Amino acid sequence: MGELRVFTAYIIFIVAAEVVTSFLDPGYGLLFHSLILISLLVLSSLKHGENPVSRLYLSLSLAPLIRIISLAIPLNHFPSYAWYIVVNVPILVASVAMMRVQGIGFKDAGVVFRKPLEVAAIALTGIPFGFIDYFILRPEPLDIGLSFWNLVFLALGLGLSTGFVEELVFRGIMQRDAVEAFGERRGLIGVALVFAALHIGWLSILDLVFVFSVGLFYGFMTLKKGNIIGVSLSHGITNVVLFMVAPAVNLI
Amino acid sequence: MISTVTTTITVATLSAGAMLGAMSTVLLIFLLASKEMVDADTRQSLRMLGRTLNIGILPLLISFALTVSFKILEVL
Repeated sequence: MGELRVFTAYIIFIVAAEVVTSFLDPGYGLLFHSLILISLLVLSSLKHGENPVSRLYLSLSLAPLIRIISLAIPLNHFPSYAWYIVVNVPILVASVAMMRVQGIGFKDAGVVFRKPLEVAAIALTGIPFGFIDYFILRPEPLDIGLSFWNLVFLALGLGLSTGFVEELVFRGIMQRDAVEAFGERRGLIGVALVFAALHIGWLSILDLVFVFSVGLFYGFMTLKKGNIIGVSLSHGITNVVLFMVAPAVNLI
Repeated sequence: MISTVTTTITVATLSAGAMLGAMSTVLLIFLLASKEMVDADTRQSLRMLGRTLNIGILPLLISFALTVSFKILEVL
């Protein structure tokens, strides 16, 4: 019970750090996230004997790390179509380092290619999710004035790097550890809350509710199917529809 | 604003790029110094901490290398 309170407290800290980043100052937000990161790494090491919670605190440290990296990388030197790949490479490196420390492989994290029809069915949920998200957020299109190959690069960056890396972090690593530490229901809800918290930057309550629901859906699918390929593709397709397809179609 | 979980780009973050880069460099130095210290110890929890610090160090090193590379290119 005590460990569940600590986990809940860290979710609240991550929410607070995101609020500071989005509403006050990104610098203070980076400082707040850095403190959360350091305390999680220390706490995980101190709890080394109690494996499930130690692993959870360690994997939870990826949440503040994601925000620190996304704020620290000098993106203004890169063309906008390359931003997603540039940010996701260091996060993928951190995820692989995390898996090595925890002694798990990609297979354990749910990167398993099987049952292609099931995977395709889950992946296709990305189309309605993308349109719903577009109607909530109405983001500016990312692909204005890009050449064909730059469009392909942007679609690959959005579709593969954000979809795969984010699902590897949240469902493949973090949810795996949370479920092991606190059971399916609490683990699933806790990680969906962390996932939603990292969308506070959109400044939309409706989007937070939507993202939390999608996080629960992806988490449930990962638990039941035992792999993250379908939800990774769905996540990637959601982002491509949100930033490229829906603004181009412009239904309303 | 353009944002996914992993990519948050706002006018504020782009204009504060140098300051955020400097802050992340301070964090990198702190993590590297901590790693040096805990690696010298033989206690198991500290050895574990030394390994877990790599999780923060590696992505920050990539970010730092990118920042330094662009600064050098600017000077050239």
